[in-house]
Amino acid sequence: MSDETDRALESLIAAAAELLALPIEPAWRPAIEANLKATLQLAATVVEFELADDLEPAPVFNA
Amino acid sequence: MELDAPDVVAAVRAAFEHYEVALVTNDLATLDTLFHADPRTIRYGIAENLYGHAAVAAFRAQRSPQGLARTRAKTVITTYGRDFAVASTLFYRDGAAGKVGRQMQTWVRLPQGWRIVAAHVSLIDDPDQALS
Amino acid sequence: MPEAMLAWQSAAAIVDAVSSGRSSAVAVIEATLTRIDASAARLNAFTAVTRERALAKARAIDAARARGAPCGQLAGVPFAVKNLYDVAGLATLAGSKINRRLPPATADSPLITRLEAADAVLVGALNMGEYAYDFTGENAHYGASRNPHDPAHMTGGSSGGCGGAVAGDLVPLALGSDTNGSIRVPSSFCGLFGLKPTYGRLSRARSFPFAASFDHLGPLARSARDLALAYDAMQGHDTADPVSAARQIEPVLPCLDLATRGLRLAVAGGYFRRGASAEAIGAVARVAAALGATAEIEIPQAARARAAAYVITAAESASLHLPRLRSEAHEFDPAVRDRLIAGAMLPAPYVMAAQKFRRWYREQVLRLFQSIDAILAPATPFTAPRIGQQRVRLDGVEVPLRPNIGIFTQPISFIGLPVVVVPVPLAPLPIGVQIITAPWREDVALRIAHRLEQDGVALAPRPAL
Repeated sequence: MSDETDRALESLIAAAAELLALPIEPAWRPAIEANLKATLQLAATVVEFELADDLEPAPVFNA
Repeated sequence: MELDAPDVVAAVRAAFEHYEVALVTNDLATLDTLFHADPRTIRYGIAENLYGHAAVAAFRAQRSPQGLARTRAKTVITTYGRDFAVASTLFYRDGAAGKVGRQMQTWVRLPQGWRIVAAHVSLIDDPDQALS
Repeated sequence: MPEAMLAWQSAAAIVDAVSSGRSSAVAVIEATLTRIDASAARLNAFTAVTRERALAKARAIDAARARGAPCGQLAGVPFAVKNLYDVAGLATLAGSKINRRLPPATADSPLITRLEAADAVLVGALNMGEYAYDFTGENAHYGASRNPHDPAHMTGGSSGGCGGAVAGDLVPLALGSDTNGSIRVPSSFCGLFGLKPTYGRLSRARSFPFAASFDHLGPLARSARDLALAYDAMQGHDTADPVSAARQIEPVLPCLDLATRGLRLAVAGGYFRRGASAEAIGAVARVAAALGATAEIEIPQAARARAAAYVITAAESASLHLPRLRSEAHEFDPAVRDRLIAGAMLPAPYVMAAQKFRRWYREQVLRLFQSIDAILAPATPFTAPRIGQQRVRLDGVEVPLRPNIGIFTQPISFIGLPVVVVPVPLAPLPIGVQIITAPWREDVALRIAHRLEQDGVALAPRPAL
């Protein structure tokens, strides 16, 4: 990930913490960033796999 | 020269998707139309090297329509100016686990519309089936 | 029956001894409680010992037998449960400090009830990785559970205490949970037989969740027969668990000795060989050779499946714990807290894409089972690392240890396939092999496991304690 993306990640964490009312100690930030970065990289591999619009999500609800 | 001008990208993407549908449904008429009708058109296929539009069309005509369905990943379309683009995509076929296909196309905006002037399709062992 | 004879007994042997009268249930339980007490510092497997309850149950079993009443099919078998199971009178800790403040559970989990209905005896609750978000068995509040084969090494997790208690000869049977590998990893590291049944097979009612899309409950034991005994007693639809499948009980015990010749078997290639140590590859090869399995099969997009499972787990667990993260963030195990917080910040489209991919992948993998009965794969890429180890070398690259422990288990639980892990007794540490079958075919997996055990290829090695 580029420097730009890293900065975006920092901003995302700060903003999300605010919006979700999650108190985050400064000391926790590096680990949170590393975890989120790793998860987003994995998420990118999922999202880049082009699936049909009409493919049903796995969980199916029965009314 | 402007790269990735939004209207140009949109036009090429539409042509690309049009080609994709034609490919998986074996729509020969559309496939033959979207490749530039010219002896300088080249297509390197999975198991064949085809020179000229006639050779490409002949290949299409005798190709089995079975097993053409595929799932694409990481489609990248880059446009240079208003008349030139490169489209690259990875693809996976059911029943060919562990392999990834690569398709690269050079698109040019000719008077008759966007056309593929060169293409390359090949298959390798999937290097991405690895650890994070 | 002298105490020494009760050591390293299978559940089946205990049932035999108690129902025939050669041993009293009280003697079995007293010997068990003594061993548990003696093990506390060395193994750190238990977080609670339900001494009085266990002795009362044992006395009841002996009294019933004296009256001539028939004994249950698990008569006198001591068992323990991961501390995310509700045990009446105990707060369900789920490996946390925060849950100590919860009121005690009012009723046992139905799996405990069903085992005790068969005359098994609950002796206590077991240590686990906090809130199950763990593959090591380490825990900042309760200490690491220690591997009986080498206490400087981890049991694996998150059902760490289960691995330690069964491999450490404290109980022959433990109940754990498996979301991305938490039964299979400790089974592998501790040299045990473990069963992660089909998603929806065993009721998860009255247990503390982790990621609802993937949570499974199941047993760990020292033999395939003991797994089958426990599993049969626990089966059955439970409306209290919304994902509990409305299926008939399908006993596997009668199928255990059926021939395995004729089963179509294959070894998982590609992803399931990358990053696997020589021990992992060797163990799978040994099992494959014993079964005459020469074919190799590729599970398509397994890496992407693992990624999708990771994403969904991160999102679901974060959502579950959000209120606690808001008010009690400091009370979490730091290793768990930071991952949970990160998970709360995942954009929704990524999680939704993962669930769509799951349907695609499920369809692809189920198609494989049209031409195959079981797939063999390593349970873990390596044998048990040292407690506290942070990094590991895989495929020539140094990577963080913890998330990579589950690379081979995660793509399988992602779509709820049943798995039996069989232990291959390597030295100095054992390692497990996954026997993966089609949904609802636990019978095939257990039958294969039993065959391997009969042939001496799979064995729960006894630690030199």
